Amino acid sequence: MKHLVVNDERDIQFLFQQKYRNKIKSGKIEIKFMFNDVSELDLPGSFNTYEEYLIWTDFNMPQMNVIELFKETLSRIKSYGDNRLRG
Amino acid sequence: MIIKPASRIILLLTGIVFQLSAQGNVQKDINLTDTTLVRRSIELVYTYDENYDSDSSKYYAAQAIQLSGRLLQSAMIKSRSEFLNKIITLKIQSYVAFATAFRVDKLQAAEDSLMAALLICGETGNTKEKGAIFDGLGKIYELKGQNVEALQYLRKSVEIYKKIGDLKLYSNELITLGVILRGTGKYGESLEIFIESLKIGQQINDSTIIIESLLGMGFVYAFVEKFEDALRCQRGALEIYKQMNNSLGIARIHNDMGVTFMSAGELDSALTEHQAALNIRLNTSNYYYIYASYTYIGDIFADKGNITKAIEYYERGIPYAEKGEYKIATEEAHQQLGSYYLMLLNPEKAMDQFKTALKLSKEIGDPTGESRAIMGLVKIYMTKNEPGIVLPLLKQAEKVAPSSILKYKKDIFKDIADAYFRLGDFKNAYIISLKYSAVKDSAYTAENIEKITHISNKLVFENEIALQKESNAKLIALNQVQINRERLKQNIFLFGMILAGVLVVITFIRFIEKKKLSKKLNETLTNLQDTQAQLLHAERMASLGELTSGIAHEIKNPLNFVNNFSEVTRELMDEMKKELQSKNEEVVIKLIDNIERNLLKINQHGKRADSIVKGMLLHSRVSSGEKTPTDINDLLDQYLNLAYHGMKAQNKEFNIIIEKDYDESLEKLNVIPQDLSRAFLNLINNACYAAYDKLKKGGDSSFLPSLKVSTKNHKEKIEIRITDNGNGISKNIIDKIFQPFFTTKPSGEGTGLGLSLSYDIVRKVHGGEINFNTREGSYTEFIITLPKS
Repeated sequence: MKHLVVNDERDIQFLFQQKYRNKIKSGKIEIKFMFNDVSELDLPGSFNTYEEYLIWTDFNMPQMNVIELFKETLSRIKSYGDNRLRG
Repeated sequence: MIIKPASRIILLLTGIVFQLSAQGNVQKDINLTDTTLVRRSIELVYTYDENYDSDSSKYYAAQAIQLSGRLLQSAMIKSRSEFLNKIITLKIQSYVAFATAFRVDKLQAAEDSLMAALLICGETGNTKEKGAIFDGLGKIYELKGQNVEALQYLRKSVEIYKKIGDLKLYSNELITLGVILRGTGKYGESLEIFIESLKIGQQINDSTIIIESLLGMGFVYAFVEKFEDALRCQRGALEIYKQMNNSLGIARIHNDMGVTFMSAGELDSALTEHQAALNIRLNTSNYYYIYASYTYIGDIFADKGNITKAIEYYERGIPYAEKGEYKIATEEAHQQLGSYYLMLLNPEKAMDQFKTALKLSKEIGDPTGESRAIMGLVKIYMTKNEPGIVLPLLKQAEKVAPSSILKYKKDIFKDIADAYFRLGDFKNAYIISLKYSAVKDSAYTAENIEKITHISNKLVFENEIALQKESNAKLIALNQVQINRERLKQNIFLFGMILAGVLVVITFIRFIEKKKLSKKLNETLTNLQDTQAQLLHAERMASLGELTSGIAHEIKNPLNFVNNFSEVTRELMDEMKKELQSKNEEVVIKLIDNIERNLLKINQHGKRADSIVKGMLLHSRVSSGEKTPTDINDLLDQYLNLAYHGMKAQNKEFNIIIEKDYDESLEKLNVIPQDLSRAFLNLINNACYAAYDKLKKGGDSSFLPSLKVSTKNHKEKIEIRITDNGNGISKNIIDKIFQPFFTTKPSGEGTGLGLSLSYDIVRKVHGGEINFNTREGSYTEFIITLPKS
């Protein structure tokens, strides 16, 4: 299972890394972090296109809110002709 | 006795009535408007009577009688007592009016009418009308020369008016009574009566009655030769006329005073007075008065022995008597002129005068004048020694003389007897002298009266009857003018009062309205203030609500970190225990590093939460301070320093170029310094941060962060500009910068409350504005405008 954490709080990275350190160690999950800027959302480059992944996000962030994030993500996935995205 | 003449008058009236019906001037239907018609007819009777239109007066009197008679019949059929009484009163009034109209020449008809009225009156006991009837009867008997009866009736009338309590009628009647009493030589009683009427006149403030009373008293005094008292009374009346500005009245008093002086033998004073009266009268069209003044002056000159002058004045007076068609006066003047020419021994001119007088006296039907004129002619012919002409004249005189008035009768008889004697006709002379002594005997009792009323006859004629007959209209007109003037005065006064009243009312209404308005305004103001306070409160609550929702989100983040990090740390501690048992030191040290870092994070986020709460508290504390006059330049400079040193304390590397441009003309402004200073601090902090951030991020080594702070005084506001040369605000966040918890600073560095708070302070607390100009990558300028009031 692959995870994407989107949040303007950078400390979230340490928290997630410690919380799920055992699972990360055993390779059960893989977590990517993104902070604050829509330009950082480089999905195709960050993930294998045909894998499922789970997005963790804050609702309201300085650069964008979750709806904007969702639209952005959707448009990028659609451009790959894949609509297997799940909430 | 009474019924008889009444029935006679009714017959007489019926004739007139038929005449009127034939003329078709009378309405056939009897209704209520007929009473009005009767009233109007009665009014017209008096009006025409006063204007000497005796024919019209008689006509309307007859109409009034006829109409009231018909009304009476109809009222008797309907037998409504109230209405009946009204009609009966009208009927009586009609009779009285009739009598007034016919008193001029038909004394018997007038008397009969009054007797008829008295007959009706006796049944109904209408006392006011009775008074008028007795008054009318008194005047008729006075005209008849039956003074005893006249006085009886007048006394009755006075008594009745006194009982009714009608002071005006009562005092008027007293004056009539007083004049007749004076004429009959009852001076004491006359004086008493006049004093009484004077008292009432003063009581009811009726100037006419006061004047008449005074003049009445004046002549009583004059007749008893108390000339000083007479003049005192006359001067009193003169004063009143002067106050009334009644020139005709003034002339009248001068005339009366002239007569008084004549009686006193002071001919020069008399002349002055009469001359004064004449001067006034010449400006009027009242010819009788002018004639009278001329003849008075003529008499005075005659008394002085200047017969030529006397003749001159008489001749000047005659045209006026002729102009006014006063035949009696004209005849009298010619008689007098004849006598004067005789005195001047000018028989030719004297004869002309006597002939004119004779002609006139025959026209008028005046036996006294006729016999006097004849006797004047006789005297002339006697001197000419022409007995042939004298004898028939004497026979003629003998025939007319008995009808002449008492005053001249005995003189005439004496003259006739003399003439016979000188003609040598002793028989006739004896017969006539017998008649003369008979006249003398019968006249003896009257002689006193005659002596006393020597002047009185002329005066009474002039002052009472002539005055009434000849100048009633004038007097009435004058009275009317006086009344009008008083009415005008009253009206002006009333109008003034009304105006004042209206003004007072308007002022009062306006005052009340104003009061209401101001009350309403006050209420509205209070309401507005309340609403404003509520709004402010609501705003603050809304702002707090915004805050709390922001807080819910913002404070949750650091608290989440605190909770999660502490939880993770506890897990790490468990793990560390296990690793310690397996003595895996390397792993333990790694764990300790993690724990240490976690604890640091916990601390950081705890502090962050704390600052958020503090910011929130600041927000809620807005406007708790008092507005005080503050020097904005000072405040700005003070906080500029604070901000600069604050930044420096946080970061030792921080530096910035500060440019200050304060407008020294700035006066103190009413603000809440602790609030406004917070806004300044926030804006300056932001500016410093932005400028320094650009330096940190940008690669341009030549970049120098700078901050410009300036104030400017405008007419109604002041302006504060805080400008930095930082990176500016990007377009996509321009509309968000004043939102609470919005910040571009990295998480944890700013609360996002600074600008929001500043906005609230400037806009909501101080009623000012906060705006900004910015260009991305170049500069940001915040402009605070504060109103002066």
